[in-house]
Amino acid sequence: MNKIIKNDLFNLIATALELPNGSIDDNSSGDNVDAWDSLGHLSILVLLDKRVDGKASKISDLAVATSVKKISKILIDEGMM
Amino acid sequence: MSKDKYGVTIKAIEYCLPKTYEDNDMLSIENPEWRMEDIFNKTGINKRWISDENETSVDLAYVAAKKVIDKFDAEKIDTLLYVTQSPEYFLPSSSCILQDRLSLSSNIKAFDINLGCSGYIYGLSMASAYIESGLSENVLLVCSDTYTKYISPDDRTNRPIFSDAASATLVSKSISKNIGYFSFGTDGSGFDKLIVKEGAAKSNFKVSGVQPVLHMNGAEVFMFTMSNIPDNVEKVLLKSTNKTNEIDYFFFHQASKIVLENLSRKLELPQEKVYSCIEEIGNTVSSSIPIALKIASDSGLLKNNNKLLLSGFGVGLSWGSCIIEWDALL
Repeated sequence: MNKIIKNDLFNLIATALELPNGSIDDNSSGDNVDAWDSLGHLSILVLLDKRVDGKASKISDLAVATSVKKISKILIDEGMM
Repeated sequence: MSKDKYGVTIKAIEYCLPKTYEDNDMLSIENPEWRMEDIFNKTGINKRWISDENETSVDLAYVAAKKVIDKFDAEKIDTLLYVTQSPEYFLPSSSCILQDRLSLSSNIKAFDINLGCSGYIYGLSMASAYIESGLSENVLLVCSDTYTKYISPDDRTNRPIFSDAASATLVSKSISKNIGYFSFGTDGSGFDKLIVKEGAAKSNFKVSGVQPVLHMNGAEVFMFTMSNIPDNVEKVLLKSTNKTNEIDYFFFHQASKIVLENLSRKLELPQEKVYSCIEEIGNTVSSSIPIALKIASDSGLLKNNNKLLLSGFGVGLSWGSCIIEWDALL
């Protein structure tokens, strides 16, 4: 598995939320992106799990990580980013 | 006393849906701000079945169970297992009320099992254990829930998902062993991920609103499912010495399309082997697997001796999987 770089994560979240690339940045979260609701977050989790070969679904904290900063921190802590 | 084990088989399955349903168009009219197309893409559910105000889980259970009894000698039923999280009363057990309404023999074991989406697998294991030990010969396993009564009209998370329904499965002694192996799991640390908090002892038996309310953290339940169920499926396959490609069909709890799709992905299952009837039925909690089995059987999909893997998971958090060999239903 290749480590995720920041831009990968931005694009992955944008794809999951059906937004154009470039619309997600470090400050994006469920609080300021309309499409990032509970359904949108499920899409992010699925794409992330696929990207890291199924390892994301073992990280339960991702379920409540509804911001780029929180997701990034978890991925860095897990050695995936 | 003989130590020989008896064989066990599923002899009949019937189910009951309430008369009333709501589809996504109806929800869309009522809640124009809900993006029903997006919701459908995730849930795969278009129709949900809603019990009437005064219709209880026992009412639905009675109809499903009566259909089984009409095909079988009710006097021979010696055990009634009732899986529900929508009991008529805190006490007595709804199983006792159902035993009376069905005019089943009083020489019968009857009790409730308080489980949700894993309940059918646990019920099957108990039915099998009773029969294999010689304590029972014919077990009526009834699952019934009316979760919609716990869901408020403006609940966008739960309302598009859950249906009310009942199922009745007759599990009987047989020459061949068609039910088993089993594998189970429980993680009570997630008890509050899917919960009705009010109305019982923790709220001093009081309800602050009009009715008890179902709370579900969809993302956390989804992650629990993706983290635990593939492993549990692998475990039951290992126990049974079956390989994935030796299973004819997989009947997962009909939670939602996104759950079924991602379980298939993680287990690398071909789509045609993963059964789904969720679009027209919805998530019927503990009845979702027996209803799916019955619909698949009636459609002619299931053939004698097909190997099926069943897996239920959800509230608790609780899960279980088993392998059965299919035999024609009554």
